Amino acid sequence: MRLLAVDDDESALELLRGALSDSGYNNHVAVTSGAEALDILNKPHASFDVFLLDIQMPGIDGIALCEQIRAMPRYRNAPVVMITAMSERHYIEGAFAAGAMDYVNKPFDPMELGVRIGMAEKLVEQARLATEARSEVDRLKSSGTQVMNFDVADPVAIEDVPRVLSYLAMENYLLRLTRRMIGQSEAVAFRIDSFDLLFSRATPTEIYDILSDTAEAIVSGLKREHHLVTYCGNGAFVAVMHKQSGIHDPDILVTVQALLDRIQPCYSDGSPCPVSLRMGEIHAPRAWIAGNPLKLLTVPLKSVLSDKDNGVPFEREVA
Amino acid sequence: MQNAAASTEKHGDAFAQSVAAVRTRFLATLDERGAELDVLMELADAGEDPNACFKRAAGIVHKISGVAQTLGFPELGQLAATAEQLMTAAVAPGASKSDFATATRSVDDVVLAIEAAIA
Repeated sequence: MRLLAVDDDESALELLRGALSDSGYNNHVAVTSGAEALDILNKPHASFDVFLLDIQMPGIDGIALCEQIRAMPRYRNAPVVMITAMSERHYIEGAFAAGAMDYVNKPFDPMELGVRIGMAEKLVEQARLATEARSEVDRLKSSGTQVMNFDVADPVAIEDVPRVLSYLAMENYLLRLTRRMIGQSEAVAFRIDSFDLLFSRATPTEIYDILSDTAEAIVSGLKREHHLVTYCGNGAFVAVMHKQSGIHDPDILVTVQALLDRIQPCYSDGSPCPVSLRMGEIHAPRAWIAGNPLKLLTVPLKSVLSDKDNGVPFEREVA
Repeated sequence: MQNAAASTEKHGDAFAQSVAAVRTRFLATLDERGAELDVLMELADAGEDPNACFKRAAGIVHKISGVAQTLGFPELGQLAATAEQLMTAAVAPGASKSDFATATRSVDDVVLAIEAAIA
């Protein structure tokens, strides 16, 4: 696995190199600016699997660099881990919204860094398998055979919709928030009605397109400046937002549904596929009882999932 | 700088070796960084483009806060992180003279911690 580390502080880079070597990651390149990183990435034969980016750098900062890396087709899914001293919420949120998969605070613990990069390595392997699977799907499609390549409960990563994170990235985002930040947040879930039925009737590509359209309608319909959305499987989405006064906004669902109706999801043969959404209650934890930050995901989810399918994907224990 | 890796250090030793090497260089530059912080605060007090002085000082303490704890200076790292936050707030729109004074004092604390680290 090949890593590219970018930090304007050479001391920080040297410590990072030592930590990476101790974790067995010896194939890495380190540069001190975003411009240098882009120069390397634009070379035809340059290839990296994981990116480690500092945020605060002169010139192109880490968040802008993350966006530019994401815009390169071959790095669209490559894990980006921010390694930074910036702990304010807008930096954390900006990093994940730009496509970061994880966020490690400086001063970093070398063992924790190794664990985080290990998670990134697993994603690289999953992406490789997914690419192989897509090739197989394409081959079967061309021969007229349909295959399912994800399950109804899988939290498929919705790509190409701004502010929509993978489920894992959303978990990592929430785990970086302080108790005070959690107390300043609220979350709400949406679910596609009769998703099981829809899933059984549509192809994986059609389902993915419907999920992507729905995510787009949710992101646009929330009309908030700071919100992040993830798809959780079973036709359910969760949006995490900054708390605002007047949180019980009955118009949210109406707005999101109207946008979705305007997008007009359809099957691949062009026939319409009307999608109806329901919305759960807004979950707004109090700062002093905020507890497990992942409850910002799991509590709203339970409000839209029935008893039959209220399993939450990858539910992670937090001490 | 570009360092194609291919590290040959024995597994487990590389980070300790990095810390030792960086610590030596860090200590060698601390005195200079402390002096620069002092000059910048004096210039800011004298009204010499205080925002530019604070931004430059914030850049210095940012680099200190990123590595100081790892190198065995946790208090210096914490004070530098606090000073960076306060200086950022002091140059933000709507900041008051009191924000400015608080940020300046936080930089003084960093300079004192630097002096203690190199004593």
